[in-house]
Amino acid sequence: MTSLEPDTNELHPLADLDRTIHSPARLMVMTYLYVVESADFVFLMQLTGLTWGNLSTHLTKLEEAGYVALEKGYKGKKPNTTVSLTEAGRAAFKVYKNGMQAVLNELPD
Amino acid sequence: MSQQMSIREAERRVFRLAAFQDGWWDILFGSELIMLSIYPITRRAFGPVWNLALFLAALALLLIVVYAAKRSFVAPRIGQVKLGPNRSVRLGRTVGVTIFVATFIFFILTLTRTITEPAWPGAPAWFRNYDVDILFTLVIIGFFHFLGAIYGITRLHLYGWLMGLGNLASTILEHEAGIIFHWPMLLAGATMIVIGVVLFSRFLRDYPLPVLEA
Repeated sequence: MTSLEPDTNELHPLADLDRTIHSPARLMVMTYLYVVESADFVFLMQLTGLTWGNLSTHLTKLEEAGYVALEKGYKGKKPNTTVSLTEAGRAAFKVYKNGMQAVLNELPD
Repeated sequence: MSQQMSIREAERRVFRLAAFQDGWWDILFGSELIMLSIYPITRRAFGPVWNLALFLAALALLLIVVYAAKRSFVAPRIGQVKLGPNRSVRLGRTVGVTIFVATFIFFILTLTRTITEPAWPGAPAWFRNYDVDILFTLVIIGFFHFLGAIYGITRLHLYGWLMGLGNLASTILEHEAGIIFHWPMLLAGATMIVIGVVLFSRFLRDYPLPVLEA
């Protein structure tokens, strides 16, 4: 009788994916931050289409994981937050990207 | 998923939003073409030195206006970004600037007869008469096609043709018919300005001032 146990060898790379990055919104944020040196809150908001509160929540999670650095300052009298990827964030994103691409490349057409 | 994973597409989106979405680049470039279209007329009126000074002053004023507009209308709506030294952006910039500078130097050297134009044996007369201008046109078209492909901005392909053919047509009209007012170049510039204004009005609609929570 054929074993009904799932072949976990093929699922293993997926199981190892970084769950901090593996969320549509946070993946979007990480991707855009990966291609720039830094961006302010408003730019990220316009680029991702996320609301202020939503973006703030995701950035907090990424900051807690050590993937982004938030620099709070002022532009004139208005508060302004600049966001950038940390070295750990860049490394984690590269690992995530390579892992996902490896999984996707193995999928049949 | 493949769209999200495309770093290249992310780069392009960032660059488009940061530099080209608001239409001010189009307005700036179109205005410069219009200034160039009347350059021969003002040169006759003011002489070469004063004309150049006037042109540079007008260009400086234009740059100040565009900078102020971007600071007042664009930055509050889309925020600001510091583009990283990403490889493809750097490569595109380096190659683009090199091609442009090399072409410009070649053009100037040919105009000043520092280097002689090639003889083109067997070529028809119309080609020999305008060889440098035709080559310049092809380089401009190629340059803008290259930029359009690198940055994913479709209208740059059109601008290459407008600029290249506008310049060539203006040169031919001046030499063949004595028309020193470069109206093909003016038309090219006006087209870019109209596109820029439309893009800016669309930008104001699509990017209202963001509501920022405390």
